[in-house]
Amino acid sequence: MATEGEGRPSIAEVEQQLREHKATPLVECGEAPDPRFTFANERTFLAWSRTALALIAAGLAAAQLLHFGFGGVRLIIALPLIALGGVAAVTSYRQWESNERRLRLRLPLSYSPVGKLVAVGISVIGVAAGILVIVDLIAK
Amino acid sequence: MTRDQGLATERTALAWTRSALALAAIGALAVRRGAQGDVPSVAYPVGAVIFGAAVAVWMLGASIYDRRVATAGAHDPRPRAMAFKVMAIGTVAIAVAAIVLAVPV
Repeated sequence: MATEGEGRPSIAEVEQQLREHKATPLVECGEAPDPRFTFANERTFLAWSRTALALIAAGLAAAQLLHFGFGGVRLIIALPLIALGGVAAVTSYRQWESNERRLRLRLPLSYSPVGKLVAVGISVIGVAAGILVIVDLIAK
Repeated sequence: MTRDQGLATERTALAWTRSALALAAIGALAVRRGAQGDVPSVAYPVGAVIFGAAVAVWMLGASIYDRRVATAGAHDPRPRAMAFKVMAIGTVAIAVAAIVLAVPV
């Protein structure tokens, strides 16, 4: 969001501006952004929230429906999924607020860490689930 | 431009509604799971809180939309942080309830 003729602000300048406005309430920060950008930011937050809810639902389903030889083993799948959902919910809120502030201050947006978090989390849980299924088959 | 902004407002309002419904649905799932266990007495207050959060998100989302339609000429897309907080806290509450409900059985 660099203004005409100024070029992009450096990372140090961006961080300096964000520090200055850290405690300012959102609506007093900078000026109202293009409505379409603030709506897109809002919908991104909501989409991540629903993803978080889906992760929690998957965790609940795992807790209820999986039947490995040893009862507690399904919690190895269920609990990380639920925890991942909780973390995604908090992180997506922080990300929304950070990007809303940046939009209002006409600063470049930050990349969301939520995507990587969820991708890595699901990969690890997927591998664990695969191993558990194989071990369970062999044990039977 | 004006037209597209109108549609963006509507898409965003629909996203709020969808999110409120998801919150209510997953909350119902968690409460149903809890009610099957030994402690339904805990499940119902938790369900009431989650359902309350879903209704709040739905109403806050709707009020954001109404205000945006009313002030479309004034270009005031101001977000209401309260709606975002209720959504995030509601989701975390469901996660906590899910963990509590998943562990004993």
